[in-house]
Amino acid sequence: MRFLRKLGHLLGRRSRLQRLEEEMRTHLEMSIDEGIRSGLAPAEARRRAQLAFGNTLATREGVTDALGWPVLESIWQDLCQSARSLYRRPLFTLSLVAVLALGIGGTGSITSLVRSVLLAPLPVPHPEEIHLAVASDGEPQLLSAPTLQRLASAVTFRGGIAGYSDNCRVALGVDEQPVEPVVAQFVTVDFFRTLGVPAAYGRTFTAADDRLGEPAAVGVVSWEFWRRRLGGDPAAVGRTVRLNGLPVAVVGVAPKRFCGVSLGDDADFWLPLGLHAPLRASPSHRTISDGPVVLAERVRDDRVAWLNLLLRLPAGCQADAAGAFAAAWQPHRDRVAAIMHDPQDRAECSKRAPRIVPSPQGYSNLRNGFRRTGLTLSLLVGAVVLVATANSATLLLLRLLSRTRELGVRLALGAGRLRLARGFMMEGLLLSAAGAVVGLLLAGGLTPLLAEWLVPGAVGGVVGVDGTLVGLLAAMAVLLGLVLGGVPAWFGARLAPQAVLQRQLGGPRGSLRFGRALIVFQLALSVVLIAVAGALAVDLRRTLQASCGYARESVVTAQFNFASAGIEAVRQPAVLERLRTAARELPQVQAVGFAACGPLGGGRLSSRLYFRGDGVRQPADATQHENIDPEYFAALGMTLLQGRVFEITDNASSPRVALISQRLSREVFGGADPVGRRFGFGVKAGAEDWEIVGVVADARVNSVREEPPALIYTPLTQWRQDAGFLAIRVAGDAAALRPALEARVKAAEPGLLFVRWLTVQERIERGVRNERATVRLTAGFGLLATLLAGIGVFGALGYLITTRSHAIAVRLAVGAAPGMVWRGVVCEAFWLGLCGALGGVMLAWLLPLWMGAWLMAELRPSWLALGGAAASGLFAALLGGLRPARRAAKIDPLVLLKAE
Amino acid sequence: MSRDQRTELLQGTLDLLVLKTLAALGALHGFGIARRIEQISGDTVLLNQGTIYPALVRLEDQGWIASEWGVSENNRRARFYSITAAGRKQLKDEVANWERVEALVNAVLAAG
Repeated sequence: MRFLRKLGHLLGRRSRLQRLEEEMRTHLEMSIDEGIRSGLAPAEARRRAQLAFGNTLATREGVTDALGWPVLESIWQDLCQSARSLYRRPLFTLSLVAVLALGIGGTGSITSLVRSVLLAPLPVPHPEEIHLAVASDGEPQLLSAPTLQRLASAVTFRGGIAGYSDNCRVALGVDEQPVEPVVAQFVTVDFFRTLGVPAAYGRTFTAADDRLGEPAAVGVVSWEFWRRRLGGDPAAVGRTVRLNGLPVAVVGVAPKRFCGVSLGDDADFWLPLGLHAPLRASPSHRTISDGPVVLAERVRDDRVAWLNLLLRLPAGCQADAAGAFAAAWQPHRDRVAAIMHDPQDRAECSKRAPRIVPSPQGYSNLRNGFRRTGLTLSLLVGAVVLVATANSATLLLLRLLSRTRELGVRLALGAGRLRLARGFMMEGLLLSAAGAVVGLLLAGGLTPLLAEWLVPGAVGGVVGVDGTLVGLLAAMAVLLGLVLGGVPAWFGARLAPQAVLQRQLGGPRGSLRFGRALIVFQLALSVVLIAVAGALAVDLRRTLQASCGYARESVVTAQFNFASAGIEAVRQPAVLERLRTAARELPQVQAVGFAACGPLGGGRLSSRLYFRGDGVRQPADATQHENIDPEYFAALGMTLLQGRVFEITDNASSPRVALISQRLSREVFGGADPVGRRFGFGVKAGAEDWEIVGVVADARVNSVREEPPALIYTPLTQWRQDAGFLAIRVAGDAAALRPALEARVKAAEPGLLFVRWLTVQERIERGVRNERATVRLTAGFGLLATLLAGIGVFGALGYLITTRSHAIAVRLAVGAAPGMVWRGVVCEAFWLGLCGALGGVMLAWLLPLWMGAWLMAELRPSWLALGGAAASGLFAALLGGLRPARRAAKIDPLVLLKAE
Repeated sequence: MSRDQRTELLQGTLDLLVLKTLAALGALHGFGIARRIEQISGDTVLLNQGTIYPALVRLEDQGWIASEWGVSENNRRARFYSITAAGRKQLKDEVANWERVEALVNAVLAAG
């Protein structure tokens, strides 16, 4: 209360001071009146009154002190003075604030990105209790439904256990609108309860929703889906939509921040586990079978692993849970091992033991991809902050040097050095505070853009500007401000007034050398940034230029799902034929091919293969497997190296044939001819075996970044995997033809849902999107840093010319040619540039050693990039030196010497 | 009158005197308060009249006195101070305190 009153008085103190001054004047006048009334002469009355009142100045000071907090007041004065002095040079101030805002805003954006992608815990109560089951490689371990049931019945700890499938796409129909793809996740009814997530509207699941064999057709939708597709209306709870044709009632809406257990893979619908069979949906699974596997039996079948385990373990329960988990997992492992023919596989299988690990952040495969990007960016931001600081410090130092005369006068008049230093500190803090405010706004706007650019898919989970971020940036601003204020304060405190006033303008000892070092440091850092950007760009270019094994141009692709449309195997060949005919109606279409997964489609199949005959080296693990139709290679422009492609005559009743990739051929057969050799999916040779009829060139089908995998191709007519990928080869521009193709193909089979109509080129671009963004960001920041360093050179040399103008004038007067003066200044710039460039090259060389393997391991040092970066640093320094040099050469000795 | 006969005010007692004066006489301007203190002491107190103003600021900040503009007997615009309820309570406390101190000092002096 007292504090508030004091604060209130503090705010109104100017008017109060005026009031008191008026009172004191009146006081004196009354006193004089009294004296005159008692018979004194006016002059004597005034003297007496003044005597009685005492020292006016001291009184005034007493009043001022009583009115406010003296310390606060003098700080306020410093602040006002600093603000005024900054305001007087708007360009200087604005550029400094911009530089600092960039550093602080960049830090903010990257921090919130790294925090949300790598560090953010799940938005559930007590995320530290959440545990997941992972395989030995750290990837999530898929489990069979019976494994989960055994665990649930064995475990009696507090907390809970639940399971959830991987996401899969289903076709959504709302009212009579055309179907559209949505992402569904099948979960046990305990899923939401285990996570501790209540419904925002309606309810989550109850045990009644998933009685074995008769799941209820109900679903919980995500907040985002509810807002986007159901109009954000609480009355939408209870509405019925169609999923893959099946009417499903929406019984609840998940809370706003909850996007599931994995970031960047947000589900629209959560459905009871058992509902996957009526929906004919088949999320990722790993099956080891010794007989028919039926979708409807998946919730009971111990041979199909398709569920992720979610455990909530209160502290101290981990050991119990691990034991119970091992016991529940054992029967599944035994069951699967019993099916395996291969003794080696069986041994492998019995060694496999998934672990339960704390996963407060859930699991996201986005994280693996983002780790390198995130670390590169953190490094980048660190460099930008350093450059921004060095640059601002240089400019502030130069400003101090240009003010030495003023400061010298102030010192000579008795200003305290401490007070002077405090002024500089205040200036630094003001600048960095302004930078922090702008930077915070920048971060708020920039973060979603960066997220979209660098981690597409994670935007929903990115935390924006929050308290922690504001606190972090505020702390950073204070630190920056102290550093920025500290440099001029340090040198300012060492000013000698006599020297300054005697026109020795050299500035305090060491200040120039320090300024030069700052400039060289900036140049070196900018050279490093450009070198890193260059190396990244060269690497990306190399990746993109390497042959990927299929055509980049002129191929339109799309993905579809027969099962979700309810099209059974017998009807599929006719549907494919209809799609092909529809596409071929366009004269530009040259070939139409189908496959199960396709290149860069995101999915992959793999099968365990056993090659027959002598001299083969069996693959150590399952081999990637693609199921295709005869026109597929033609449509994708893939090269047959040997043998033949599939023919129409390779059908269900003819001998089974397969093609293998060059890499598989090399790994299995060495140099021997694989055509005519046989293999099977079982250990023992038999009539069911397949014959290799050809070898296909390697292709980077999973990602343009990784080495082409060993691959086997089988015909759609002979292997039971459904087609799900369409590739259309056209003459001319694929992107331009895509809409027409899309319309025709969709019209041919309205019930079939197509997703991701993309050209192959677009699929490739998507795959390197965040790398390209990283290159651009690094290069952008590098150029900016170079520009800043150039400005630093410009400022420093400009200052030098001013201080040395007298000496230069004397030299010119005694006959030196202006060209010589010009050369001298340019030479100075050249030296600065050379030191910066060499320092930068050295840093760029040492960086990989310091940073270890994570950043540059895959980056080969690029001489081109290094040389280019060094040249740009040198160039910037020279450019910055040109104007000061011209100014120096134009000095008119007569004017200057006459002025003396 | 020679300087020796005048008493210097004890630290902190000025506030007490101002409060007491206002409690006794009602609203007064600064000059009035100063003169009143001098008169009561028979002009024996060594008071720089100016020092009254910081004291007024302090007392007003504490909420013990309030002020408003008014017109003096000579038709001058002046600020008139008056004691508040909180000020009266404070005055009572300070008087009691003063009496305790006085009694203590007297007791010590008498014993000496």
